[in-house]
Amino acid sequence: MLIVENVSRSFRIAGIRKAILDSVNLHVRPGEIVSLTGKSGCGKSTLLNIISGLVRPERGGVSVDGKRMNYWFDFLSARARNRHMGFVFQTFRLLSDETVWQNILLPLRIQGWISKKDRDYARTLLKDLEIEDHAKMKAGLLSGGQKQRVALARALVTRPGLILADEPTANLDKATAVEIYQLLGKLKDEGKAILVVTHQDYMFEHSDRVVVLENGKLREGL
Amino acid sequence: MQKLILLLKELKGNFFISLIVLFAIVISVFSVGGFLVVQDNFNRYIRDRFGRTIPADTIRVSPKVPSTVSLLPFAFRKPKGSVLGEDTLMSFGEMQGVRRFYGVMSCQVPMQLIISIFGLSYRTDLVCLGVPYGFLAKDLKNEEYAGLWRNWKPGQKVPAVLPRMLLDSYNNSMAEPNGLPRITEDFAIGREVQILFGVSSIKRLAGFQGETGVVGGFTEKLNALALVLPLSTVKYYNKLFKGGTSDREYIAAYIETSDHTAVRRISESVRRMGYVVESDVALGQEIQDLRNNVNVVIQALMAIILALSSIGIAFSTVIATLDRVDYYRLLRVLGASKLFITVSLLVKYALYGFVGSVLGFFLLDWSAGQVIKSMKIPGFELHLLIPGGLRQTVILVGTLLPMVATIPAVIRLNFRGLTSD
Repeated sequence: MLIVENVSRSFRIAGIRKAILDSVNLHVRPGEIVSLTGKSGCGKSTLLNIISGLVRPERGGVSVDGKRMNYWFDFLSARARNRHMGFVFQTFRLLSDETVWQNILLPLRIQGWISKKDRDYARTLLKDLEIEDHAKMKAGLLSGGQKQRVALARALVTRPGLILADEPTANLDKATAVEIYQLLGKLKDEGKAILVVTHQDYMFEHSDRVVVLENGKLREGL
Repeated sequence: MQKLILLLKELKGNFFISLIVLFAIVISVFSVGGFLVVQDNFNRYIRDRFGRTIPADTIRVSPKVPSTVSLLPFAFRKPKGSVLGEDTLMSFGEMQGVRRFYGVMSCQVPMQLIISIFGLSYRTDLVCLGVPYGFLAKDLKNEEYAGLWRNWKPGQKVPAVLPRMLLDSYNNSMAEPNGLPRITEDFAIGREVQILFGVSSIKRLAGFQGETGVVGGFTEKLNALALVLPLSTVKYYNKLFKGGTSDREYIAAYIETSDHTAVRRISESVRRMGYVVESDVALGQEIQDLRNNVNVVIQALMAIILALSSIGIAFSTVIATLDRVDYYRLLRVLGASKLFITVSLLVKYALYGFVGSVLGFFLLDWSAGQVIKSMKIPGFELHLLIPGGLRQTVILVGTLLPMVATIPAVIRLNFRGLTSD
């Protein structure tokens, strides 16, 4: 479960301090898909960066599954990010010269240890996401839909409670995008909390809730 | 273990630009090492060719030539200070600021040396000098030779010390032109020779005697083409064959002063006594200046190379690092700490630096070896001598330099998230 409580953050732009997030509150429960939308520059990236612990809020805090995400020491935030969150990106962000299998194992390598149980789970993900046959292929050779499946497998391999998806279907055709949303739906059924940043209307239909970030505040519904 | 795999992947990352870094380090180490070799050989050449054998804070005293105050065949008077007798030597000892003094006596009897090496026996006329034990104590290789030098008695082996100049002269003027093997110090030490007192190729004194000599060491203190023997041996044979005051007359004396300031004062006093005085202060200042200036130029060139290579390496690492910024950001988002990424980069470039430095020395050793083989300077032997400590320092600097050069790249790295509004 993701809890964002009273998070505020401002930036100095051209010498003037501008509030990007102003006491933002957001809860995403396990088994829930929440779509986050808003105009460009409204602060969605800042909010995602604060949730993932890459940027510290000036006020407020973030927790995932009851674990704090923002620490003064960077390595603690990094560890929390690795263990409790999975990321899916618009441009997939795969290592194109590495195989699908190597890409999926990357978060586990960062942990420093890959157990047999972890490898078995990674194989299960390959099977579930129907990319088993491509395990030894270079990621750069896959289609957009296949790449996003690999990205999903990589996001899930550490068994996180929260999936953060940033425009996960923006680079895909509609049919493939629907497939990805169906996969997210399956993850929701498995009890994952999913926060999706999107601008696509048809994606809102697949979400349990839609929240809009506007003038530094979050509001429910479009 | 898995982090090690990530580190290995990092080593592979951006291999082409990393190769440029490696190449820059190889060239830098090669150039700096080359300059060190040139500097070392230049300094040795200057020392061998122009350096005097008078150590620091030491004065060399020699008598004036008597013929300067003579008219036709009549010498009206001997010049003041024309003889360095034992009384004079003792008077040096009484001067304030004198720490020790040593007399150098020449052997005034005909002499010959018989050497048996490489299955051949050579007989050659010989010039010998006698010095007290204290003067060459540090040059004698072991206690046996030191004991013989201190307490030599007729009939015992005569320890002999060879001036390095004599060895170099033999190797270059005798061995080389005659196609004979060169003699090294290790080969010569402990070699026994036959020294004949009272006989030469043109004169034979009644009752000439032979002694067994043994090479006990080498010295740079006496820049002479003469064999150096114990003072007691030379005194003994001077008295035996020549008599008179020949066992109490010295051709030179070395005065060690208590400090540097005493050198000028004592030099002046001895000069007033009518003797020729040489000291390290009075002589060779121009040569020292030349050597120092050339060394400054070499060091400046090394500094320029280091500065240019540092800039080159820094640029290369910035380019190599920024080229992979997306990868580092991905690692960050997936849970790698800034520390891990920074350490990976530093280790990567430290490793490149280390390998580059070792390769640079390897290249230097090989190419300097080729140069030394093909380049001959008469009377001077080129050496590739970079002391182990200096090598370690250069390798350490070569390892640290790319690490330090990586810091601007690491600072320049922006670890923002991967999302975009």
